[in-house]
Amino acid sequence: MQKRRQAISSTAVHAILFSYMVIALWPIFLTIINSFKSRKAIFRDPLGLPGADSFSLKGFEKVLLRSDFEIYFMNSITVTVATLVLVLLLGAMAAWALSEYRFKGNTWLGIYLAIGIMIPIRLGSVSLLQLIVDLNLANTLTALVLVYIAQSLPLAIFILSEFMQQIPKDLKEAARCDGVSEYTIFFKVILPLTRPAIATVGVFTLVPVWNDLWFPLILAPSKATQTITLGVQQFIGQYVTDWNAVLASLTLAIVPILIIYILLSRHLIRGITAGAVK
Amino acid sequence: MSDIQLKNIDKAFGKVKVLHDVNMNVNDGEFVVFVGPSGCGKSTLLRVIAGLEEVTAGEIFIDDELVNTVQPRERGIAMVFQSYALYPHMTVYKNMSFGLKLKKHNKQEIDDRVRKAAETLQLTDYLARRPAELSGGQRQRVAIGRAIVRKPKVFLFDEPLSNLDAALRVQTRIEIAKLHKKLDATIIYVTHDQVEAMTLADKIVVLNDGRVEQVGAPLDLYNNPANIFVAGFIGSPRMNFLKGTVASVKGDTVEIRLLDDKTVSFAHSTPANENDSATIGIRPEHLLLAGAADGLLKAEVDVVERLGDVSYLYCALSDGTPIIASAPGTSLAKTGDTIHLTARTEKIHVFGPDGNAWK
Repeated sequence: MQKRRQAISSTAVHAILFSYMVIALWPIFLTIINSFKSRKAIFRDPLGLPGADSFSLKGFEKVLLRSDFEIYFMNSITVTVATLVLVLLLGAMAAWALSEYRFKGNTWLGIYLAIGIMIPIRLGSVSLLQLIVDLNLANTLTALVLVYIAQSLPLAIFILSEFMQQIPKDLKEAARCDGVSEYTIFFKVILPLTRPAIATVGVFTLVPVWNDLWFPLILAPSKATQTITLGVQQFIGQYVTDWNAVLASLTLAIVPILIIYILLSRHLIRGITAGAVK
Repeated sequence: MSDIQLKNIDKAFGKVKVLHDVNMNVNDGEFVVFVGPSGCGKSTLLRVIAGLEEVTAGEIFIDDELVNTVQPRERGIAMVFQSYALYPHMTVYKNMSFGLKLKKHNKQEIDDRVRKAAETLQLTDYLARRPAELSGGQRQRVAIGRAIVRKPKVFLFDEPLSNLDAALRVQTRIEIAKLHKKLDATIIYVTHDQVEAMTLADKIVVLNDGRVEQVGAPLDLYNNPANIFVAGFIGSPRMNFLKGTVASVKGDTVEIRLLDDKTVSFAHSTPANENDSATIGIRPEHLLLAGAADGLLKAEVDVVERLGDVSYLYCALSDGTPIIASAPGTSLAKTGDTIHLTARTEKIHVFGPDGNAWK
């Protein structure tokens, strides 16, 4: 009886997860199959797989040969990687300071940073734009990186400081007695031990930054600083939308994020197994 | 030279005072054990010496140098933790060499020191392993190795054996004693286990409620406890305490009246007066089974613990006072028996109403 109930509940869980996976992957699947089809085939049978008569690389041709795709692509990668590195570094350092050192205003600073999770940064778009213009940073990738760091830091700090509090106190004290400086404790002991959390935060930071359309549109819309999500918009016109090109560039845009995700998730698994304290 | 002096150490966490005016000297090469029940402040005192806690008042000297404001890493100490506190992501070799590498010792010397320590601790075969792949005893040895390679002035051990099983604990205890002889090191060792304290220490510091109750050599504490607390804490099974009043003082002979109007008299040159209340302490091994006629105490046996060479009789007197007597392993006493006990009067300890021993 007990066993049967367990089997049923596990089947149910798997069914729910599987259907979620199908729903999540469906648009990606449609994007990819249609990017390999001719324009006519896309409209004739949007759900059909590319066959001998419908197969076409026209979209990719257009995107790669007749547009500034590689500029958009590099811009996106630059912004995303710079944001990721800085958010992880600054977030981990701030989290360590908040969780390890007792100083005046420690709790209030933590709460202040946590509020950042609850308030959508887009509410401040107007003042952000003003600030960026005042700083002479309009139409630069720096502007995007700065805004994305501000957007991602609160959650990063929140997750990482929770995680760092779990690291046994003895370990830090042993290192301190061992003659290790605070910086070395952070970089050589704490960071390696928080790797799973860092991978998690990395993924959480990565996806919204890569997919963002809003800030590139208002802060850096110039030809030289467009990111991929903005660049794709040129194929979407008021009267005619070049679906081949849109779908092809979206397909290409999935590739780098997929690679970074796979790299991070491998770290995630390795980090969990290596963590064993005591 | 690496001696430690503590002068008037006070430590409070917020409003809770955990150390009260602690004064103490640890001499070079000495093995000092802090012992006391949990929560008595012994670990805090160790952490104060290590520099992991700041004192509220008082002065700490290591090698005659005031170290109150000196960081732990500059105090020349090495600490071994109860939880081992090994770096889980590093191999045994890296765990032991980590601190040295940061101090910019040359590579050859680091390697020599690590290998020598590994050999001493029989860890050579495990140098490439990570802590997760080691047993509890091996991990504790790695933690000790990490301390040895640094050649510190003082070793600090914080209940290092508490997480080990009984057999391993005895074995590691002997290893630590050997290590002390071999390294000729100054060691401060914290434990709640009085057996560890008795077997390892040159000098025991008994702490209770943040105060030093007594400092002395193991047998000194055993033979001449300064007060009821020390008398009850040192020795296993614990000392029996019987309340009584002074019946008479004649020259150097004191007579004390106990339960049921029985009296015990023994030599003691104390300025006590008749009818003063007094508590006498007798260790289980100093109580002897006797016949009904000359028995001092009449007790009913509750539980018998047979250890083979000796049996401990857990009894209750007629007023319910618990009393423990040790009997030869061949004793036939069993639960429910009534037994009569006499005491070896030369081994009796007497404590005044303030809990301090009669001098």
